[in-house]
Amino acid sequence: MIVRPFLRDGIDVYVRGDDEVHFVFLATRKRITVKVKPFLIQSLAWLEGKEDMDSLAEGMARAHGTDAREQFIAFLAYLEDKGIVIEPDWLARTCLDESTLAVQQRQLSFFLDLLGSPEKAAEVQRKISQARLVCFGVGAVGSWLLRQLLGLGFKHFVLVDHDQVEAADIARHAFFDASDVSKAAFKATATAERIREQFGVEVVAKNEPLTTDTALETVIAPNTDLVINAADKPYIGYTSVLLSRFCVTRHIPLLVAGGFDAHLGSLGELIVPGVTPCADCYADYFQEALKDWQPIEHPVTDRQNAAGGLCSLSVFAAGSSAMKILRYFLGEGDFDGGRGELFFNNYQLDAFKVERRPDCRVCSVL
Amino acid sequence: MITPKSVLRLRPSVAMVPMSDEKWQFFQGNTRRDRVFKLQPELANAVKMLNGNCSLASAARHSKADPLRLVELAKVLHAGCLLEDANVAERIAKLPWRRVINFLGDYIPSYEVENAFLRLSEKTILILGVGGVGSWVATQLCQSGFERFILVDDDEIELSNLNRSLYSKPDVGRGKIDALAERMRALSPKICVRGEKERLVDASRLAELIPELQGSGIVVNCADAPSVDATSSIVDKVCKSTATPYVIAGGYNLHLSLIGMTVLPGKTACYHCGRLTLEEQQGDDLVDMRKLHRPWRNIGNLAPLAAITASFAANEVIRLAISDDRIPPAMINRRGEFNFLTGEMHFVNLPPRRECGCTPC
Repeated sequence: MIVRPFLRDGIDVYVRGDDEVHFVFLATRKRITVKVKPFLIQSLAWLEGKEDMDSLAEGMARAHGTDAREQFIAFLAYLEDKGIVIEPDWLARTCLDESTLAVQQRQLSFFLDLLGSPEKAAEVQRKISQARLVCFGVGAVGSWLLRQLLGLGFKHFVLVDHDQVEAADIARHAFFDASDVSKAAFKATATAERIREQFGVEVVAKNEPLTTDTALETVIAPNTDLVINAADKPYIGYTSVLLSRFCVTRHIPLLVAGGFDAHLGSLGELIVPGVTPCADCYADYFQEALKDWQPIEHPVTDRQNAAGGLCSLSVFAAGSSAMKILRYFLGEGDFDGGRGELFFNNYQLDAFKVERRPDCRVCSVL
Repeated sequence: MITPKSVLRLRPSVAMVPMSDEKWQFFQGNTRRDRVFKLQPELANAVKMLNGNCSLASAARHSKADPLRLVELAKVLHAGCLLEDANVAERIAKLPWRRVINFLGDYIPSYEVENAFLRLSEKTILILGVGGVGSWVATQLCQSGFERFILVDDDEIELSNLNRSLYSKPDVGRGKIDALAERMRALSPKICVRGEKERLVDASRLAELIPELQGSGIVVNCADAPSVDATSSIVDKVCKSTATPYVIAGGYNLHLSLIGMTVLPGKTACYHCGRLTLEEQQGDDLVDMRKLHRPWRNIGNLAPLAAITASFAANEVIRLAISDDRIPPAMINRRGEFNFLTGEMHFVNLPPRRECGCTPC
């Protein structure tokens, strides 16, 4: 039973008449409606986490008769069960280290809103801080995704990219500034240095390209929890298939975040081996879906410096990917396969489902 | 001016796709928009040759197309941002800002797009509140080509800010405007930032700052203390009296990932018009309910939600600054909300309200 009941910050309370109360969960818009005795509704104003249960129940009994004590205790047990009241010092009770508590209190409040229990919220934060991530591609989308993952509290990264910083990267990257351009620094090394300076977390940089010759087992250790693909050279479909075949057979989830299209607001795609379609399922699906849509060979052969993109759209794409990753760690993801993009014209999201292929040569055996 | 001597090319982000009956789809890969034209085979062949190395006259000659008809077609395709001038494209390819300009090139034809981009550097952006959302907005605007900023915030960076803002551990204890201004200046020596270490409490102080925008500014409200409603009300009042466009970015108090609205005072629905409509709609099922007053709450938030809200605010500021009907703000007369759990976007229409009296509607 709760000791000092505290009506949680993330809940709005609405009252209709004198016996109907609505608890609205701000983060999820979930609503719980109950009909209770008017004195119980009045008692909500007392749940500030200052008085303990015994003295509150005592007060109820004095004001509303002895039956009120049991009714109040039962009501509080219900509110505790629904995650509406908690202990005021719930953060300290999670046993997370002090630095995590100081930095992540707002996020833990959010997790609490979603998960309803301080233990579960702390468990997710712990999983995040222990997770080992390998990120291929530290360009526009990759770097903004890393920046958001650092905010969420991830602490172990391997970064793989063989590109060097050039002037145009300033218009889109999360970590570089003018000094990196003059040095033509390697993107992976420069990003790792900045991350260590700013966050003091563990980052390994590998200035290597991702090709069919890459010995992936030397880059993706067996204890890796998640692989991120934000590598768009030669193109995202190619690198995704390469990584997906490696990850799927080893049961490592893969988040596909990058590619030239992601500068333009693609929604991230999470591949959970045996659950969602794999990169081969996607490739086959699109080959079929687009078989009647065949552009002519473009008259301009060198199109490298002609790509368009906005920093804000890279940030959006990174944000949607970061949330996919977070939902996976929360265990709240729907894990449906699908692809989507943001239309810049009206900000509508165009998303559609893609199913696993029963005959997929990579993932159908899982 | 497009003449037979003009050297144009199919824009590299445009795919030309054959359909049935001599119809051709021109698909703009950057913005996923497409247009369909019916073209004589000779004209289609001429367009297919436009690689930036040959004049329209020579493409017409090689494909046996009528040169005058090709010029007329090229004018239409250029105005529709499907073809671009080869010299302009060559200049843009050398610029650090080429990605932004090429993106805008989906909306603004090549002869105009360089000037359109320059308008970003001519505007002064006044950002109120540089915390979770504001720090992301300011940075993204620097990285879009804006150069002049005024930041208003009196807060110092605390550990509890780091989970969602763009600050990091070495910044703790510094003023938010100081840390952010330093970061912005490091991106480019051209960036000019002024910080005002104060909290927006009333309209008179904001009214003093507006003249510094010299009639060419945009206000972005990311200030949530005491509430987004309170600060938006102040912004609205001052911006109306000075006809300054404003963008409301963020709002933690009611929902977590709000987008918009964007207001052109006197022309579009203002913050108060929006509030009137939202209050009516909220009344649907919470009507005649009393809300328990709960001060000093600490509402949860996360990096991706702050970043996403900020990304839309940045989009809107870019659109406002370009000031061109071909790429208008998208959050006029409406507000959006990004649902974290489903990854879906919802919009609410917030039309101008007669009883508000702010527009001649």
